[in-house]
Amino acid sequence: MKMNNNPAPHIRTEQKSRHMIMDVLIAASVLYVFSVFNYGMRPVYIGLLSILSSVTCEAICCLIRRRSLRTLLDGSAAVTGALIGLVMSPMVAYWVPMVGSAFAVLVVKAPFGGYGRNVFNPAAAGIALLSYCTPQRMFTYPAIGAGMQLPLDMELTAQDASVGTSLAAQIRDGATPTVNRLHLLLGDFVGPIGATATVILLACAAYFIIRRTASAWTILPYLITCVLCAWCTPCTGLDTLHSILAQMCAGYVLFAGVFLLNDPVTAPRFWLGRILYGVFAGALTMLLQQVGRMEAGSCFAILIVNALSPIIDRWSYYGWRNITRLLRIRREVKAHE
Amino acid sequence: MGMFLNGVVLPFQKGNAPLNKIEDFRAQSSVRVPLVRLDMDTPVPSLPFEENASVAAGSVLYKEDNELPVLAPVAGTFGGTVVLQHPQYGKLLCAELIPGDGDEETLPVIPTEKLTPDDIIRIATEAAIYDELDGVPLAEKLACWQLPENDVASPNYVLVADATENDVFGSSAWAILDEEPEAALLGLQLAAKAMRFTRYHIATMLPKDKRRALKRAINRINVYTVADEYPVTQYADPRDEVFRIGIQACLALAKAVQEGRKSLTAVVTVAGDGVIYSRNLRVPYGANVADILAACNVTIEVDVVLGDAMTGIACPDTHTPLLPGTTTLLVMKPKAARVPQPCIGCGRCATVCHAQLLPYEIVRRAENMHFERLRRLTAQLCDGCGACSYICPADRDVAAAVLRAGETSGPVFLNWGGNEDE
Repeated sequence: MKMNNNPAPHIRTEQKSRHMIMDVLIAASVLYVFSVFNYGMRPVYIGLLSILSSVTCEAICCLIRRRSLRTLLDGSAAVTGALIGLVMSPMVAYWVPMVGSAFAVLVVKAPFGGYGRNVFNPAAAGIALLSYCTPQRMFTYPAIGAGMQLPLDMELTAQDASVGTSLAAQIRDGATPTVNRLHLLLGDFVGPIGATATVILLACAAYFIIRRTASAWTILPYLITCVLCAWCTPCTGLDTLHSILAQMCAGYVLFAGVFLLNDPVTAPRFWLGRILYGVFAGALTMLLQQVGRMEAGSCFAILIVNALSPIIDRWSYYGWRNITRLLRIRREVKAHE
Repeated sequence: MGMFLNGVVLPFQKGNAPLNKIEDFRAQSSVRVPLVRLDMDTPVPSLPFEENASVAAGSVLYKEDNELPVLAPVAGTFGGTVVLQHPQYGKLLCAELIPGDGDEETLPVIPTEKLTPDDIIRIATEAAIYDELDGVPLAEKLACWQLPENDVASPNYVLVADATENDVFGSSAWAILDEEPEAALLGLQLAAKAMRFTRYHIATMLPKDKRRALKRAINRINVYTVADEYPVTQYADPRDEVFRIGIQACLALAKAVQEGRKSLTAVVTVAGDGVIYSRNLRVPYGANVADILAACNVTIEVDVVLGDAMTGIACPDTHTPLLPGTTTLLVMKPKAARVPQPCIGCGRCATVCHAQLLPYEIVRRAENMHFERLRRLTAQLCDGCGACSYICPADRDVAAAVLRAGETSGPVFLNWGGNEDE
């Protein structure tokens, strides 16, 4: 008779890691569907090719490390690809996201031991590489609003499509953003495939928090810090609320906060550490948006705080524990007197 | 702080067991009573019985100095001794009894008013009452916690009878509170008298209707309702110092004092998806698990766990006696082996840890053999409640790893590589 010899507990919670990953994929697919209305099928192909590239690279890594190919089913590689696809320009050449995904998996994720052990967020690193190497392709966006159905089969350059200036570029150059509030909320402005849909991104954040896929301790401090920073550095020619909204929608600020920052592998685990991490990431993001040349400032900010997250985690835990101990000792001394 | 650091809320799977009466279970094949734990140099004791001698229930089989007497839980014939491997207690030398008919030996009854604290402890010893929470003799706990004579009890000391059943399947304490609440309360009062405590209450986690019925049956100030989470961290007001005994031990103490009956049985919940419906059985100590399964009409292949879902120990051999300290027998359909995934760092283990540890960090450092850095994380404070393993979305055995780390982070291990203590 074969008997179970597992250690206790003998029942487990129903929510597994693969459900958390599926949640991210579901949220990303909503953003892809949204982009179809803006740009036609081209963003979907960009995303699929990006996912194909990351999954293929993951499979290669599995073969090299003699792991079962079943580890692909956890979906983490697909998430990396999908997220990289979401921040591409709709007119980007198909090979660009594929290169980014391959870099993310082959260089940033696999050498550290694969999913669960990577130090940096692979998607953020892939985006950072692309924005550093091919800024021309990454940050050339088609002007939106003409009911644009981008052609699928040709490589687009700045000369082909009618090119618009992105919101982030407008803010960075000190110009007055030309998008009104409603369009900012609906995502009807020039920018990357999935990072402009403000309302959908906020809905994704709420979905993650409700499903406990992401922690509110990270998202909310990040967003609050970003809002405060935006409030301190208003755009010229806009009222306060409009200015804050414009800065939050520019570049990848919101997208990074919802999708990249919440990768549990690279974030701190302790709640106080998460708050500090969110605050720090938010402040750094807004700083890089203001002074950096890149629109992808938030990706660089996230890579920097990723490197710091183990320290933030540890120090916040020890600090919190010591404070509570001191308080308890004081309470006991008082009770004794 | 309670806002951030909580236990887990477990699914309610107690089923119908708490609604029905406690059923009596008659041992069929054999009853095995452990006499001594066999270590390397334990001498094998000689028993005052010949083989096939008839034994009365409650008669003393074996007695060691300063230990509880080993009683015969059932009447029957003595069938010799056997050595067996118990998953909880290791290698045991057991006396085997073949159940039959016979009398039950009782203790002399002393009127309750005339009892002194030491009398109560003596009765708890002679009646061989074990605390079902941890299998420790009740007399040992009472004697250990007893306040000196003429000492004024601190107003913060409170004796708690634990009837929470905060685990997933167990409901034996609920059934006892349903059937004999007054006797259980009397036992608790006697235990408090033995310890010279002035404050005591029964801690419960009952559904509303049962709680109301209980408060109708006994004085409501003796009932304390704990928060519905696992593990329970507050059995009384946060300022109080809690001393905890089991409700079954209280009941057994009341029976021993009032009727002179020795403690020979335990109420055990048999539950899980391997049985058709869960029930509470009054089982003599030492009864065979296989017999209990047969009485519950279990015919399929099942996995048996001694104890409840969160902390129970898998029982690989069904010919194992049920010993004090077990109030739940979990019968599960065999499941595919769990495959642990890599830790994704969701941090839920730290959120649910009531000891405020960082389980993921402890496990990581233990896996990387950073023992010198392990000490600051105080893994030895873990009591193995299993909430972190339960909540882990990657199916990892976090609690087991933390317990191991707690054992290995002692000073002996640290001195191997580090020079922190030198």
